[in-house]
Amino acid sequence: MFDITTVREIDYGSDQVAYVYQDHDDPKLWYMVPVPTLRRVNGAPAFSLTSYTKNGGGIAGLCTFEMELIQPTEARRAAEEVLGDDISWGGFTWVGGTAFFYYDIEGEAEVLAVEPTLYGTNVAAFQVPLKTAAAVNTFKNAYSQGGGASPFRVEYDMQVLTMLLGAKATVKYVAEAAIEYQKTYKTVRDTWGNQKKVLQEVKQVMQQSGAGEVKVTLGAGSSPELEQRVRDWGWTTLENQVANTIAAAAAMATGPDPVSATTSFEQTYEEDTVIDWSTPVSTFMRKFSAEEWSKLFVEVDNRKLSVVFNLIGQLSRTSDGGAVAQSITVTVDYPTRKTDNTFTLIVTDGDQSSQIYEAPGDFSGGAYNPQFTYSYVILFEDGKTYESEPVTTTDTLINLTPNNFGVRQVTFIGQDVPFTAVTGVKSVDIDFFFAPPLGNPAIVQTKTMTANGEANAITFDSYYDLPIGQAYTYRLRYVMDDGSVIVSQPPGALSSSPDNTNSGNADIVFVSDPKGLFTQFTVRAFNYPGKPADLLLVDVTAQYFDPANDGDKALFQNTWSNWQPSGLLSFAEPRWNFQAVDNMNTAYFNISGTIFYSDGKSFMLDNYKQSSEYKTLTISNTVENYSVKVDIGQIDWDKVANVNLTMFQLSDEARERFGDTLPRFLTKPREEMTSEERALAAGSQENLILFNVLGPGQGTPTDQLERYYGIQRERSEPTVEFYYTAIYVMKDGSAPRELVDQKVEGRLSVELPALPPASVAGGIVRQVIDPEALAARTRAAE
Amino acid sequence: MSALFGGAGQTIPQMAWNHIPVASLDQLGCPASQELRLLRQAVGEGPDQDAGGAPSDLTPAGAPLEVAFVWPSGELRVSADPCPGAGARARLLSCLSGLTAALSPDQARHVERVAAWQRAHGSRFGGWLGYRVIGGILRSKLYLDVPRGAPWETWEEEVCGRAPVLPSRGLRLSMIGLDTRSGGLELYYRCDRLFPKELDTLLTRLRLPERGGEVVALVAALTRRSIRFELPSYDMGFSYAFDGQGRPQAFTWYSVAEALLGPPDRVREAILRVGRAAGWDQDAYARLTDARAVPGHGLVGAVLAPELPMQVTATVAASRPQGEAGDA
Repeated sequence: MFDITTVREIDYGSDQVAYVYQDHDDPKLWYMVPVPTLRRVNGAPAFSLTSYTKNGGGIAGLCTFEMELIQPTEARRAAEEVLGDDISWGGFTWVGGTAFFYYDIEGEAEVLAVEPTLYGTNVAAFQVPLKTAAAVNTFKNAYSQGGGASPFRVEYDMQVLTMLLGAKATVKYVAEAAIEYQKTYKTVRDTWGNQKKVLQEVKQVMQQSGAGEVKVTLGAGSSPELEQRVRDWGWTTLENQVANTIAAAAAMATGPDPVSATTSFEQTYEEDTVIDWSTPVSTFMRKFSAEEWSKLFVEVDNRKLSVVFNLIGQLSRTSDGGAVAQSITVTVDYPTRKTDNTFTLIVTDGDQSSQIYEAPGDFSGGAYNPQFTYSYVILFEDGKTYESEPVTTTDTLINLTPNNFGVRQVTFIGQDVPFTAVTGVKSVDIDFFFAPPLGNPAIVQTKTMTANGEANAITFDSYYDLPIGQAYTYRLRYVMDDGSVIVSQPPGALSSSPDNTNSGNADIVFVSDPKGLFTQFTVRAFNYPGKPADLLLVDVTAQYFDPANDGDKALFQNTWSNWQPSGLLSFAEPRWNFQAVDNMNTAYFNISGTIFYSDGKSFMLDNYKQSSEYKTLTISNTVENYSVKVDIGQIDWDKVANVNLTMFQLSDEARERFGDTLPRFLTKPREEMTSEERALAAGSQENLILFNVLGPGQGTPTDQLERYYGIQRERSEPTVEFYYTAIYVMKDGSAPRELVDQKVEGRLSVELPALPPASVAGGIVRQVIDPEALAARTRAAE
Repeated sequence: MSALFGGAGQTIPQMAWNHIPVASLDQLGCPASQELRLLRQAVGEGPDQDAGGAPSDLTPAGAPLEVAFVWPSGELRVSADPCPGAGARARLLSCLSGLTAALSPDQARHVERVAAWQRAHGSRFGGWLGYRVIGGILRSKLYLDVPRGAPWETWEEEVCGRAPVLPSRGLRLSMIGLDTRSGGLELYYRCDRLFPKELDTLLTRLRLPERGGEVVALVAALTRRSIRFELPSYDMGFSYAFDGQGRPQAFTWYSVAEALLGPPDRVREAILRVGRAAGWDQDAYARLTDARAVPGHGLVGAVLAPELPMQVTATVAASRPQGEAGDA
């Protein structure tokens, strides 16, 4: 593993610089950060600039090119002159990355980001639509004037595993500051759009409010340059964590303003901790000679279809490095190119891992037609093939990821587990599960970790000849020195932000100290103006339970007495902070108390329970809170390997729009929806939560723990309703069983059946709690 | 100046400087210094009326007086709202009456033009008044609000002498400044977030040297973060300064301090940290922004003038020292 404190600059060629790092343990082993370089395909630069002279279909031209990361021989030679010719070179393990193309049109900067392949030479294919003739000219001038560097550059920002050496870093998010800032800056902010926008807003709020803090403590002898690099890494890490927190808060929203539903957190990365480090490296692209340019620049009358097909992610086996398949043959169906419309991508050959497919533009409908259909056939190593369903789209970038090949590779790395402490952790049992393709047995796999670091990583890898989904589930069981066991199971990934997934399937999960997770719980109140009554007074007591670890007793408790909410949004003070085990899948909050309204009525929270994934209780003058108990005790674990239960409510507008018939795509996980479906789901589902119920593993008892789901009833409505879907993954590899479309008039509880019947179409259960049941609940509470 | 003084008989309001917490200026340094004496005099004279009243739009904190520090030169400037709570037009007239010298004919035409825009499109504040001391002489500067919707583009292109740049960055002329001593004109713009290289695009429009990298280095030092994409401020702008003959003199990039550095205590910490490293004299700034109760900052900026080292500026709302009821 390379040592981040040993970075050295190596000058080579004419004014070029490469960066090298020394290995942490072997002084003769060095690593060179590769340099972005324009690819050559069949001896020619992988570059083209096309100008549309008559009919551009909305654009004036298109520039396409492919970059890759290489270690220039010249740079290696220069490094060996400095470092000695007896050194050897190691290779980086990339865990993620983004390639950026920086260019400008008449002095105005633009940046285009794409995902590199993450294997081979990390090919990144760029397509730049040029809107105006001036933009086409700018590109012509940038690349065509013979020799030297162009003004445009490409940067690769690659994440690579390493250890945090020479410094300790603490990243902290102070939710109170962000919330206070939001209140003063903007009182209404109800939609967060896509993940990138969230990240942008988060950066702004964190920066302006002072809610973000990154503290770097340098070790002896470390340089200011290292401090700057660690600080940059810390900010990126914090921003991504807060963005994910807010994206989850938005998906689980039980009220407006997701920032106000976030709670504080803090994480310290000690020296020697394994982290995913970022190594930005950039280079200016070169200009082309007149001879080259005559072949690379073309003028045509009409716009053409141009689509990049890419193999992305780790497509080799972790065990032996062998390729997971031989090739993938893609067929594109577009009106102007009905023959010679098939090409092959070779998995083992980085040079043939991407293809820019072109066809004359179809203007038969009067305007440019961007829609095409593609399908592909995978040829696996053992000669088997898989033929995909056809996909119709207008996307100009198609990424084929490892899950398309049936590949699942997830690595668990101990980050700061106290394996060596006096009263520490003896080992960590990792229960891992994902749904295999149909016909393959589904089991919960268990492996044991006994030490931190990359060398002691635990990898789960499976290879099928059929595509699989992207989701997986895991549970960590820490076996302590005294023989006790601590269970830590993350909440189900909502995957509301698939833009964030990087390598498709070669994920890394960092395993941390199970104890001492800083946990904050807040009670927020909305007093919406113009409603029949206001919130007057709130008296509540909240308790934290973690039955998987500590049985039936309340572990922490806090009371807010005689709190008078004020204004549109207010918070019960002080916030409640405690340190718990990180077990958001099954731990929960139990809340009791009374809410008094200005119309003289009151509402009693009588052992109201909500999942510890929600760390904010939202009360308002328009809704009452009830909790739904989910009983999983009936599930037939002899036949079922795993159940994914998704629960949600609908926005008023969506309820009106959908009526009694909800769209079918709401039965799918978010990551399997199309982008249009995802947008519609995000805009209509509220209070969304996903429970992964993991079946018994090797040496683990059956999960019998109840889950709790908090729901909101409009005070003006006599009934309350919520929806859920449940997918049962079968142990024997037969088709998953699902609950059918149905309306249940019921009580405040859900009993998952032992096993849904086979061969029925999956659907959505709509559960309506009738006035009588609510009244009974209310009577019981009074 | 028919557009300004035309219409129904408008009386010019008396300047009511008594509301301004000029005693806060005493925290800046030796009260006997010529510079401070002149500045205090400029904003500290006036009829002795009851203090208090409406908050001013000059600063986010509502203070009607703002101090601008410039480093490394050590220069001090003040901006003032002569009549908080008054209408835009009344304030503009009040500012005009507080100038230390007459406007040049060109400047008077600029005032007339902007005043007409203010009448046609409404104005948020009308104008502010600024003072600085150079060579022992007090100089005044008139700032005029360019309202949203004003058709400034053609005029601006004439002033700059070159076609506009950065068409997608939401550039909007938001204010002009007129220095009565030099006869100069300064154009102030708000804009969307800029990329580092675009500072050079803005500089080259006026044939000023491409020194945007110095601004980027300053921003990186203040924020302690490497800058790879947009400049990390969420509310930024810039200005072009021209001398009396219309020749470009300086470019200033500025950001709302909070949008770049966060709450006031973090702004203070960043400015003192960078200043210490650069060896700036920041005693006056440190005193005015006493860490126990850091006042609101306005802007942080960087001034690039040909053949001169970059100057860094920060503005601070001059709040009344604690316990002081008024200031005569």
